[in-house]
Amino acid sequence: MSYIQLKTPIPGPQTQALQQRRRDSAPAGLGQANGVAVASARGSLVTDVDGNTLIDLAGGIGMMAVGHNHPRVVAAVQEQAARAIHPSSLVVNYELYPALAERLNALTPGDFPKKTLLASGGAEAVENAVKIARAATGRPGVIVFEGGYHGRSNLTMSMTSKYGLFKKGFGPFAGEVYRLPYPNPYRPPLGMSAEEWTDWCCWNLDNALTAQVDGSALACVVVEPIQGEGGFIPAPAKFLHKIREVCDRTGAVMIADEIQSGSGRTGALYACEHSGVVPDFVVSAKSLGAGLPISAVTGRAELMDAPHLGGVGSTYGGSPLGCAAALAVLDILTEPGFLERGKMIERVVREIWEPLRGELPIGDVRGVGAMMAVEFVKDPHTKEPWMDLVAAAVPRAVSRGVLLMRAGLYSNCLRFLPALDIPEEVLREGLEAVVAGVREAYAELREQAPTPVGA
Amino acid sequence: MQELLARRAAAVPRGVNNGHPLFASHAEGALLWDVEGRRYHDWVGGIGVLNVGHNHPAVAEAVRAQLEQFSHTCFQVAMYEPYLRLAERLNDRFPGAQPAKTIFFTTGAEATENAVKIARAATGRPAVISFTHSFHGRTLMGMTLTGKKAYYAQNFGPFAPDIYHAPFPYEYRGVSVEAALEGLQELFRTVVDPSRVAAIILEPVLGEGGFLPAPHAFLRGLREVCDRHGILFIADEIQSGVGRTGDFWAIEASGVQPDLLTFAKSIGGGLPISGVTGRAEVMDAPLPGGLGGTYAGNPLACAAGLAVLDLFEDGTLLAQARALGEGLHAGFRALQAEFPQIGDLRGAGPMVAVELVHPGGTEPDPELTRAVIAAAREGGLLLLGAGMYGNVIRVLVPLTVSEADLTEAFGILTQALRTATSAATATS
Repeated sequence: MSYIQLKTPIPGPQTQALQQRRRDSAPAGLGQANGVAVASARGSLVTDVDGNTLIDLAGGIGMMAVGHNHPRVVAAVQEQAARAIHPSSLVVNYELYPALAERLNALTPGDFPKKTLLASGGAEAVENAVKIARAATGRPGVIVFEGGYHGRSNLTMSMTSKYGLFKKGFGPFAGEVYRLPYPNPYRPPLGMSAEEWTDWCCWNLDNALTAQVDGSALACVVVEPIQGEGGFIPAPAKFLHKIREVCDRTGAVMIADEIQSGSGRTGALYACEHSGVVPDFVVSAKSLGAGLPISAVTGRAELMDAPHLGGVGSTYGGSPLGCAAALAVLDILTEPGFLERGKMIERVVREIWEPLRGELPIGDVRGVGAMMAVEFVKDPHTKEPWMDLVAAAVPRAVSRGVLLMRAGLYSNCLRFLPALDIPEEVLREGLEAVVAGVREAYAELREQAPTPVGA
Repeated sequence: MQELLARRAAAVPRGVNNGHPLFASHAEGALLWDVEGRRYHDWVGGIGVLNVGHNHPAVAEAVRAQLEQFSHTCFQVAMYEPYLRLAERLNDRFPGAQPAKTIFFTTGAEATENAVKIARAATGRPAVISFTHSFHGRTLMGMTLTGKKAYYAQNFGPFAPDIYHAPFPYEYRGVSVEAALEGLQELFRTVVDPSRVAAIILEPVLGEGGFLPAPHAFLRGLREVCDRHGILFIADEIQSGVGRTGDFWAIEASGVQPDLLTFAKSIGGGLPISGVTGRAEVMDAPLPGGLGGTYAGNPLACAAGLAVLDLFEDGTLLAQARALGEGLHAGFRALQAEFPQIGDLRGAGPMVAVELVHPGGTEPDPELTRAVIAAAREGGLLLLGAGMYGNVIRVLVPLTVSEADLTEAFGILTQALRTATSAATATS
């Protein structure tokens, strides 16, 4: 049977009416990945306002490791909403806050005393991780990496790499942020193998302590164990070990930004577990709340306690509804077998896309678990990014009934962020619709490629 | 309760303030119960988030209904109608020039960050001016804009560049409107040329700063300065908006039109939502994709926001708010007669605060303030401090509070003042 049920073309008439209202009422700068207007959602299926049912491969940008409106998440939120929606963690206490903190302290990597600060958004959590690292070390410097994305506030924009989309017109930006190359195995410099490129980046990290910022002025190194917006690029384990070593040597805080890669996304609770590297702080958000806005910084207790009373926290931080949802999510994620589903998702994505390498202009198929991406290039040798192809493929895939996001520093990747509980046949049907969308876009744009793919 | 407090100390960093060392069990309207069954009058409202009261049935029902549909798609990925409806209704309420547009975020600081981004994109200029005693959030930009550094900024810097502070008028402590406007001119002469300034951001009534209302003459003066130099005027209504002053937006009373307005807190009735409303041509300045956020404009919070706006629709809640303001002022005036420690009584409508000082002068008395807050809690009333000198008690009681509850709470406050002032006299 088909899970996608299309009753009107996409966008349908009701959706088009909402598009007009959107143009009139909301600013043009607000991005839009899919011209779809949602009426309801369950699991991995989304119903739009015209009655069409679509398969969700975007998960609200990687927020649904547990699918839409999981009954246990909904029940937990309903129950808390009936008791108290907003006592505010700065005014009084409520048990859910320390309960979630305890849970995250126990579940995050590292066998040492930990504490957790709760916030609302991912950027807010990154801001707090840097604040705490600066307070704990008494140092200003922050090292980040090319291709990294950490948020849209002033500091997190400063830490984010992709200027044109995320930063243009919004500066000046924050000081003491140092950006180093990231060993993307697919794009080593000319004449280097992926391994040599990783080795060079490890060398460069040491070199940066001479060339860019002295170790005694370095507060933290912030890294996504798998880059998200950057195009789902797993950091080589060797590179993460090198960051750990540099932090140990200089006394800087190693911060893993696991906002997109954590909370079960890769089939491990946190992506850094795949490398065995234990960061000092783990930042989580997105899938942690399964739809409710909540984020967290979990880290070494003695560092987390550095800011003096009143220095951190926020009006909405650790909202009770978000805590209730996150506790239900962590219960689901830690059930036997649940995270195992990440392996099925990775296998299916590879089974569908790898054989298409000759037919479609695919440069790379990569990722871990339910965090998979396909990169498109005009030429497999020069690897010239093919952004237009992806821009054309997304609406074509959407019109076939999937919700989808692009990604990558060059906006030439399709990323797949399905819920871990997506049934295999739903995943296959969704991915086949994406393949059809890419085929159609490629048929129209192939003359843009300088040479036939695979030549 | 002791066991829960120990768990908090073990699991949560010490930097998170804990206004009242109790654990909430449930809450309703202007009342909150702790896990031991004690009932408190809540004059804090989750720090100004609950103008319509804890768990208003209309808000709770709207959230419940939305939760049955979906809780998150990310508006950038797949849009939903409640976002647009809330934007349209806030556009209609925008106190500046029409047409207006609105974008939603999650927290107040995020709204501030984005107002600055939009202003910089629209003007092509880098600098932003905020005011002493102000509060604009705890992100790097929010901390930099904030005009109270020891508590909020600590050693979290270095801070964001091209942010400058002008004096906020504070008549009770000797800063007149004229002096404040002259201070801005001095800033232009000595520190930043006005042609480089993208925006001036101001709370029409200071929140954390101690509920100082910006005098209307000051707001008009700023508007003139902005018009003369092509600077955008951002009204930060995160604490002062959504009926808190008896108008829907605090700036309405002055007739001054902002270019951009930020909101959060009470708009969501307890659900986390914030946003920026502004003149459409300014709001459209950032390039497509330049604005957004994964959680921004959460569907549950949009549903809650619509329920909150419904409650304000026919004007009776604003009328109730103005009556509450009169009641609060009358109550505090009566207390002022008994307690010379109440130095200044001020505010706009029901956004009321008092400064506690050493009698006979204006020297702030933060110790007494802490003692009053603690004694009031003992009596069953939750209060919140404020102000640069830690000597302000601010009132953020839900606008829906009943006459009987208000009277009972004033009784507790009177007793707390008696206890705290007599203890202070005994020790001095």
